[in-house]
Amino acid sequence: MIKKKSRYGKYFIIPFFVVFTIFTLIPLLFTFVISFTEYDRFTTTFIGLDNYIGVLTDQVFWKSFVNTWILWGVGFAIQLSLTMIISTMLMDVRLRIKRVGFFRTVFFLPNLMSMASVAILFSLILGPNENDALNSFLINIGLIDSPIAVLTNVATARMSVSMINAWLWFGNSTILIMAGMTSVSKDLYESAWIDGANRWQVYKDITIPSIKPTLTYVLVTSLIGGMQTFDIAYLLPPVVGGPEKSLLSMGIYLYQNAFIWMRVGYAAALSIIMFILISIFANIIKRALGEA
Amino acid sequence: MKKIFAMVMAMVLVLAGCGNGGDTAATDIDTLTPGEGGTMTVWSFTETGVKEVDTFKEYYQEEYGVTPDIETVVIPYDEYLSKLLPALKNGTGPDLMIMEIGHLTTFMDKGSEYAQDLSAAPFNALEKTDDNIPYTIDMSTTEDGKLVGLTWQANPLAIFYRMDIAEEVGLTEADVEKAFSSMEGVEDLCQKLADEDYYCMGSLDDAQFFFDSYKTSPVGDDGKLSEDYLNAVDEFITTASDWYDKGYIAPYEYESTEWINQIHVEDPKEAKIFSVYKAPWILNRYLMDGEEEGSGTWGDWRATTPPTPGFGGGTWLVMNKDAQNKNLAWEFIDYVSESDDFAERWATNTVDYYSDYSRQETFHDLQNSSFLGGQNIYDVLSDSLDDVDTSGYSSPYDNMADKTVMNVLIEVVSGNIAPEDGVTAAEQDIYTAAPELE
Repeated sequence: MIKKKSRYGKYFIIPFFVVFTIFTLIPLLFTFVISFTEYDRFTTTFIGLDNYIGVLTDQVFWKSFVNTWILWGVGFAIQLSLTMIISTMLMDVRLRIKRVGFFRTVFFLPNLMSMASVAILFSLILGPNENDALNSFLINIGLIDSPIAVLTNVATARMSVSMINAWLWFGNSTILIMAGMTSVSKDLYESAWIDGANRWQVYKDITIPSIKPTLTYVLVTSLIGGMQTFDIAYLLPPVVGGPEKSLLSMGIYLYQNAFIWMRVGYAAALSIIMFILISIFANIIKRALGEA
Repeated sequence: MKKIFAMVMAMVLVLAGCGNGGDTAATDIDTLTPGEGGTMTVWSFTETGVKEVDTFKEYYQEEYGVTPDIETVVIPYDEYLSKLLPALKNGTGPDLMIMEIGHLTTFMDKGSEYAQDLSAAPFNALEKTDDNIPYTIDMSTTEDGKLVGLTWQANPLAIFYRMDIAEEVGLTEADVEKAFSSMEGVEDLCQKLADEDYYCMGSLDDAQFFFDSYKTSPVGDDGKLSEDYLNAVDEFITTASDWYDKGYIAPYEYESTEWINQIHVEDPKEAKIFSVYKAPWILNRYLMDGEEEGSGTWGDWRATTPPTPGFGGGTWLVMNKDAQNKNLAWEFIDYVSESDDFAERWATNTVDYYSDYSRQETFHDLQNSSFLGGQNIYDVLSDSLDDVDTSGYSSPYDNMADKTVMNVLIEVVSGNIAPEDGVTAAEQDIYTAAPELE
């Protein structure tokens, strides 16, 4: 009877496959096809690998590639540091922190805000005028005399985007890491304490190795998301791409090509190359951590 | 039976997810009498388009006793064409499109085949546009004579300045007008204002209109990036950055909250921005917005002509050649671009510069503006109309090149690029966006 009923299950998953085919699979295949064409939404001309050669020899693309890594790398370092510190503190029974669930919710809240709202919020905070929040604060406490332009300086603009991304995502990774820490057997900790291990030794030799699969997951998903950085880096600076194009990520460059300059075929090739690069790096990291 | 039921349910779920309102049958304009028509879809890049539609609805209700069924969709400026062009190609485009000049130049190149020729029967728009300022028609006419759209605004550029600030630094109206009549005069005036801690221009955006780069097409006769254009860009970037360093140009981003706040500062001793350089629509959109007669900056602003007459944007009304409701679309275009009724309703509440001489004359007195200290914008700009240069709006690359150059200028004044390297940076960025120009 169960076997007979289970046959109907496949019919109920047909809607998913139909929607997946229409909205994911066909666009993916279409992207792949038009990446071999000069396509501006009206005319389509087959040009072979020209778009791919164009992207791979495009200095602006490689600049955007490096930018993307810097923005993600710095942001992830901050995010992971915050995550590990907070998770460890919240999970440490000796600190006896109450209302852990409340803190988890509060830390996760930034993740619920829309990226556009966050970008507008921070553009008002980091704006170049003396009335903008950061400048106003720094002037009032006497740290600076005249306003500073955070978003038109390469280092501060990059740091701003990385820190905002870290602030947005550390709550999410905190929940994951805490879940990973919860699953570590208490017996291991008790044995270590009986053997005279100190806090750092317990953390280094038990906690970290035990949550390695979770850390790998956080790192790989963050990398995949980070390589597609768009919203904050696009909306925050006064000029698209930021000072000296230091905030021009691969995602922004793709968007400019596809939707502003209408070089759709070129953008399609760029997206395929992005996909390949992300896959390669995600696999390298996954294998490296898996073997470590 | 259960198997069939499961399959039907699956199909229902799919169809519910992918459902579409369906198309209404296309109407033939010859078979409709005025006032008839079904739903019309209008795409606009600005809320001004929504106001135009609302004004039309108001008129239509009074004229025919019914409110026309018009759906207006506002699409962000930068995404407008990238959404519109594929929609037109796929046959899902709107009946009517409201475009800015930056869209129109690209549309003329890439999408004019999807536009209804308004000069053809039964519309015969050219029969009604004899008294339009020629450039307003020329700008929307393709090389083979197709009239792609009509505009109701002429939008010659004007310089709007604060008379109360001028008085603070000891200048009369005549002094300011004379200063703005030449580039040398502009520099002298700006220095005088800078000495008193005022910004002569409200933003970098205003500065661009003083330079030839804004009036020169980036594309030369050979279809490549023009040397003349690059020379003009070089002059613009080096001079404008020098002006910025000297304090002639305010460090506010055009349309930013800070900029908006500054143009409304009432006390001339506290105010910073002396002038903004734009077409008359800037009055409705920003300068008069939130101001009330007898208070604030009302009566403190004046308008004058710039050193070289220029053109400052506007909205064009373009009909889809496959529009489902051409009758209503044409009624809308005809009403907004040619009728006195629209002009009267619009002019009563706003200051604008109509594209045809007859409406300029008819509604001349409505534009005696107490906001501008009793000045009439038509009187101020009428002499310069014949000299308005629109040659910088002739290729699909104009808008992109302008934005690129402005971005480079921001980088230059931020200290990230040396002024002398600005033109090279702009050139590279233009090639990145349009490698075919190389």
